Amino acid sequence: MELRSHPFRAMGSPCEIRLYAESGQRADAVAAAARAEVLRLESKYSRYRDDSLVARINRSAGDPSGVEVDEETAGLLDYAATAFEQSDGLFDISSGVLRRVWDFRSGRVPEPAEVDAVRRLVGFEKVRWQRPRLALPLVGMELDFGGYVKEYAADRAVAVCRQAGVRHGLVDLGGDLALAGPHPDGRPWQVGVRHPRRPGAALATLALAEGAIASSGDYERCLEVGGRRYGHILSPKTGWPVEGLAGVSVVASRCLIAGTATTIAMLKGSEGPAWLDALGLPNLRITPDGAVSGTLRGRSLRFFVSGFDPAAAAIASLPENARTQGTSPLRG
Amino acid sequence: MRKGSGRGDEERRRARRRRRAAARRRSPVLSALTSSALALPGLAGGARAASPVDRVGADYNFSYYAEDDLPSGKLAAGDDSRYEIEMHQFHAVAPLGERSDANLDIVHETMSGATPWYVANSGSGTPIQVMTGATVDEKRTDALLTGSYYFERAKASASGGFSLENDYFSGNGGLSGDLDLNDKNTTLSAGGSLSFDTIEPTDAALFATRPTKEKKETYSAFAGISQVIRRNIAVQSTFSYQHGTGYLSDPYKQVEVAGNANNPDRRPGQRNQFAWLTRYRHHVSPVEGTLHANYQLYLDDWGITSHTLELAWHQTLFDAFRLVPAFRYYSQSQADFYAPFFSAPAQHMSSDYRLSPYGAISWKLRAEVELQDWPGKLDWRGSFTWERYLSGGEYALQSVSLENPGLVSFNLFTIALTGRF
Amino acid sequence: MRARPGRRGALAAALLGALLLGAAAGCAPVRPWERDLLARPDMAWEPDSLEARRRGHVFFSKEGSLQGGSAGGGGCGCN
Repeated sequence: MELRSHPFRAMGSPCEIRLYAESGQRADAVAAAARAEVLRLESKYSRYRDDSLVARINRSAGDPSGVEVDEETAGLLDYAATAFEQSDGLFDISSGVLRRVWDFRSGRVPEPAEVDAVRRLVGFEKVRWQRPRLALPLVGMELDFGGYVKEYAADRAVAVCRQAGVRHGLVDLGGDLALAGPHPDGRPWQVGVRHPRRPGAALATLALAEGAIASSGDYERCLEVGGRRYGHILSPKTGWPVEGLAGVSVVASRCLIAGTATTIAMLKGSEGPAWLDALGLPNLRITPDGAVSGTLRGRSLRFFVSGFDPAAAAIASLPENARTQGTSPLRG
Repeated sequence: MRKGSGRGDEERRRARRRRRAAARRRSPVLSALTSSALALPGLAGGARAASPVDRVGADYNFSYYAEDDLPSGKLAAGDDSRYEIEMHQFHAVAPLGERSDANLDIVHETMSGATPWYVANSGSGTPIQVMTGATVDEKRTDALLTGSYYFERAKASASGGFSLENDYFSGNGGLSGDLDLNDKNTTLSAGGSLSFDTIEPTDAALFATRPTKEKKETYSAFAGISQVIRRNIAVQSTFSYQHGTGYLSDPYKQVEVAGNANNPDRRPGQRNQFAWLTRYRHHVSPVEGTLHANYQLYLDDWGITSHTLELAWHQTLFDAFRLVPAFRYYSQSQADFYAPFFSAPAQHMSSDYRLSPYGAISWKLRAEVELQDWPGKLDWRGSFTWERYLSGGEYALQSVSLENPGLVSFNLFTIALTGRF
Repeated sequence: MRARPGRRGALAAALLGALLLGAAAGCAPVRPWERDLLARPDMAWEPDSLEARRRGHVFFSKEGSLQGGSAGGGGCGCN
């Protein structure tokens, strides 16, 4: 069996396809087909291309007759509807418009009135989805597949590999990873989970033989304006950032399911950990003050209990009563 | 600084138990997301149940089997040096396309030594063994070819083979299948096989009790279920049934009736056998060791009931070495028509020690070394095994009043080499 | 054909039923990505098929029982 690695760039992230096949040429051919599948989905559902399907859908906003969509998009819309329902409205693919008032790069916090104005365009319950017709009733409404098409693309790329007979390999799209199968001798792959606060460092290394893993994180430092902190994860219900986990990784049979779980967990704020426990999938999560928990804790082969090291040391040396006094010295 | 209070620990333990209990119940949220995800194009295919091998493999084993000499107190006449066998086993496996593979097993063994002929009454009621004169270099060749085809969640296999000795020929064929359920947590297996044998005993003309040519047919079937209990525990239970018809006696053995040994070993022309085998596998991660435990209950309509218990501990050391100590216990009751010797003739009679009541224990030690990726993508495994087997009436579960003098004990040494290319 | 095997057979079936129920009650379904330990060679039912065949043949030749499991193969003159 020949092992081949194919790095490339797609969906705004560094990607890699690694797989085993009878010969190097076969491995290259299958990897090329899998990569082509990822790029196909990128252009079909891209927000940035005028000729993409998503652009066509968004241009039709306000038109009551809407557009007719293909099988694949219909399946993705059905999935978004299920996730919307199962997350009590937190997983909402119509919430992309909030981007218009929240510009994290400029460091500007919007006025409440601006947020309210945009919020009337948000709400998947407003979307009229009757297979195969999709209608966005209000002008300015947008659907954003970016929240889950990357994970779907990882699963699709693996499906392409398996259809070609490849049973050993993985597709890694910027940390959202789906496995075609373990190493040919059955050994699992060593997958690193990115640390949300320490770029380049791994939070944990997990041994995976089948299935998929996805991670969500508040990877940027939060916005601090006027003494208040604003995270990057926006709630579709309020239009404002949620305060919850700094990072979460979930293992599932499909990258799509794992990714949905991480997204919902991040949006659940402080209820995230409890929601993950009830979901029952293996997971790993880290809070902003560095506390790590979840069923995968301790299962890792190399596990870095990380956080803000100087601060962690500071907490450890504080007397008991100071620790129970509310805000930790890390905040503010 | 004060350490955490006991209450905090208890809360953490309760929280952990709640989490584990929650994980065991299939979350409705997870079920809804999963069915919706699997409806998307191409996402439905799960992990293959089992897959064909992806590269060629070959194994060679050489074994030396030596039975203990018959103790002088038990020998009435004949040669006391018992069987010695040199066995060569060869196995090759290769993929055939993406969905199938083939296995070839070949055995060639050379046998020499004396065998039990009949049991005599020593006069005081103690049975003593009369042995044949030692034979010189009997050979047996056995070949079996198996092909398997792999579906998404199932596997189907067909096999055919033969066994050839100078006095014995057996042709066999079989079919079997596996079906995976519950995300491969449960596997159902079943199969059937048949064997047609012809025996033409040597020197038939020299012995009045020895037939010239006889046939035997064997039909067997099995059904079993394997279940994954935890990430590190699995259990398998299999029922087997075998029906034999034709000449089932041993042409080289005789029976003493009222002091006269000129009677053939005569067993029923039919035999129905049942076996129920359960296997348990448990891996202990912190020490990187695995426990193997097997128990088999056996019954047949010749009156024999037997119990077999096998325990083994597979200890992996430094990734590349493995040490496997093992123990086996066996106990059987006697066949209805068995006796060491008879005072009056009966329809069916045999004094073969293999139909007598007795027990056996064996100790086995195997040392194994693995070498990966040398050179290139070749993987190797070599091992040496020694097994010591002792049998006697004293090892049986029931009390044995008259042990057959021909019970055997042996040593088995094996060196093995496996390659994957 | 004696009556003994029938009664013992019923007992055996009852024991098997109990074993399987007990096993099923304690099961935690293991997801495909958690099968790393189960794939270990020392967790296989028969880690060495040649050793299993060889020992099965030896015990078939020297003892009075069937060797259970499902390894294929036919008869020989050893028994």
